[in-house]
Amino acid sequence: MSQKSVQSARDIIAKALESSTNPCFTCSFQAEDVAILDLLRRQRPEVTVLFLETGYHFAALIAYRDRLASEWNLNLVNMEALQPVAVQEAEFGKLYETDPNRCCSLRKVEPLMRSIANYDLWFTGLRREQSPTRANLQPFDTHRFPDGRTLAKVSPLYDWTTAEVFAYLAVNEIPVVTLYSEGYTSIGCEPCTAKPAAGEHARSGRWGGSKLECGLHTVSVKES
Amino acid sequence: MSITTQAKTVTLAHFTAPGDELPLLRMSTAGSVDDGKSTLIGRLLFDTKTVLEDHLDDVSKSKVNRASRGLDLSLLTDGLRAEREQGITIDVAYRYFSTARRKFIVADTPGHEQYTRNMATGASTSDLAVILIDARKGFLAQSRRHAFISWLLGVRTLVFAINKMDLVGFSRQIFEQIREQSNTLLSLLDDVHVHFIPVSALDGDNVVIKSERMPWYDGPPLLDILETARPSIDVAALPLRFPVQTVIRPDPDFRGFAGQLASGHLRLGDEVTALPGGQKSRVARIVTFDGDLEEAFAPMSVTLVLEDERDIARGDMLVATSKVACQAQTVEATVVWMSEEPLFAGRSCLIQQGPRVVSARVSRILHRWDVERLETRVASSLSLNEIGVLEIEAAEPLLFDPYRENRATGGFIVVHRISNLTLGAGLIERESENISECGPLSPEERLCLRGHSGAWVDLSKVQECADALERALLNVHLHVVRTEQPELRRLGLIVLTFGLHEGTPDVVVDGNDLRGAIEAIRAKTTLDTLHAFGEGEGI
Repeated sequence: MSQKSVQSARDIIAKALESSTNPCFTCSFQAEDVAILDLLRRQRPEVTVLFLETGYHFAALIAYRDRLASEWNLNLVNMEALQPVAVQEAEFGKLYETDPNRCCSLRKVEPLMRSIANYDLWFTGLRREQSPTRANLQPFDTHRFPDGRTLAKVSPLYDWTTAEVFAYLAVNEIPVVTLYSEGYTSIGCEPCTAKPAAGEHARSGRWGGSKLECGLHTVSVKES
Repeated sequence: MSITTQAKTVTLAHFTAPGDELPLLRMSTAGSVDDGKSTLIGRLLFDTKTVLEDHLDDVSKSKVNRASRGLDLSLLTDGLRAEREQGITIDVAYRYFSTARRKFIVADTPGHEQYTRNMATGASTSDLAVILIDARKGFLAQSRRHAFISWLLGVRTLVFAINKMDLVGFSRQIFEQIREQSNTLLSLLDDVHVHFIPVSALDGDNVVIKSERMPWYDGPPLLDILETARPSIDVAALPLRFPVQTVIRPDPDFRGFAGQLASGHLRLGDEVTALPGGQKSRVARIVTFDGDLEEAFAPMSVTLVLEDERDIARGDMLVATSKVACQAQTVEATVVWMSEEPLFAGRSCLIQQGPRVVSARVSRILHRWDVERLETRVASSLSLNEIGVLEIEAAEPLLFDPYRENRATGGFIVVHRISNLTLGAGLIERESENISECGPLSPEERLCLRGHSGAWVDLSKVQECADALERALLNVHLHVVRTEQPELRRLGLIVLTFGLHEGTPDVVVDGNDLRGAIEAIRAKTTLDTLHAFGEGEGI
């Protein structure tokens, strides 16, 4: 990492914020998102931090979220599904077991798409290194909603490597959620997250190994 | 070379001549050993009646017959003797065939993992890849690897042929299962057209003729898909790129630049720019052995005479002034490493792109692709057949287009300085954005260069294990120091302290569980473990 990477992320954020009165950042409280959060809050402390409260998260993740929210005085907004968990389970049963795609769609994709429509700028933690489809990811992009409206989508860490993310967190002494030290490598909803078997894909613990993506990421990329 | 069949005569020129009406599709095949690639191609050649008669005769007399019944069709394509004897394809074999609607060039690539380089060679010129899957074995890591490498090399139509359906009772359930197994892979690749076909290459089901034994499959047979897939990009339609192979000066009155058009076309009077340097001139003559031309298209080989005297040498490139190629000394490139000897950062080498050879150094290994899991990994080296993204610094400018825009000028090979062996094959992604390495070191950069972050390890309770612990940490290349200054952990050092200090240590070693202590230290300092957990939105 050169000095340039951190400075470039700062510059991207500054440039994006210039013309925005109502920005949001979708934050999972995993490492790269926390790095962005730290960079972002130094420039726009009141930025809306959107968290997908699916109702199925690990207690440790929620505790970590609350700790950062209070220490950093975040403007945290929880995005929730139309139905609370209890109502959904009463109507459909345990969808995460019977139809995980539908469960993700109800508890993640729908609330996220509904929420971000209210903002004029969307920060994300996408990085080129995350997946082969992102090899040409640009820091400034446009998200297109199904009805044709658009939203500026900004990925300040687009050219950071994973090592750079962790180096940034280490240098700035920002703790990560404790679940990682317990062996979890990819953290989602508790029923659909297991520790990956030794030597397996970092995300193989997700959805009982039957799928790797919930669909939001794919929808979002395809339409942007 | 000519192929004679009962019905027609096909020559090699027929496949490579420009301006032919039949669209051309370049395709490759990949699959694990014995998935039936060669048999499938043999079946295509046989059923489209594009087989040499004497070749067929030869095959029917062969002592090797791996087929349980009838003719061993794989012998039609397994051209090399060594392969016939060992039963594996060891090089890329090109086959040519045509139908009424289209002509095809097939690169038959090997299934053995150690032959990734051959597979990459085959896929790099293809626009469609047929990936064979043995219905009995399912979607293997190898299938994933083949699909991903093909995609990485710019192949945008992937046809999964689920072969040997006859051995699984033409089971729809098995076909659907394999389709399902490939979903995670396909969700990671964008801009790709995917087809799934249940086939039996041996019996010909769904290869050329739709199978009556799988009525549940409502799609077309393989040949229909090949005939209707997006045809190969016409390289002549891309911007002009003319690498100069040699300067011809038979007498003081003639100075011509000979070479093959890598892409694009040109006419007399067109303005061209010479790279590197950027001098401009116009095309005065297009000379060939058969006389002068008014225009030329890729992939023709011609000699160009310019209107003005220009200082142009072998390895330079003439390009369209309206859209010049990139010139850069530092680039980011994806490289398949092909040498037994691993690549480490700092290695010097030659980079060869057609006639241009420049001295270069691999300045950084940015990451390595884990092709089974489709993730990137932090890497300090690249071993045989591994694929990584490198930063390469050349002593003179490289002349290129990003590989995704132009395969002809975006590819290169890495050559050993002394032995002249090919060490790797690469494709240029972009000019490196990391221009200077001489600025101040940031704290983050320091950690990245060390390869780990720092930690304070308190040994005040068990001083006797210090030697063993220090040795163990040094063995795994961690930067360890014994000092009573815990704050040095901020510099990316693992500090072993014996005395009592203010503050909270990262790891307190309090038993004799050395292994546990090492694990805890590594977990605390790694910059990689948590890799790939977020997909950005944490979902």
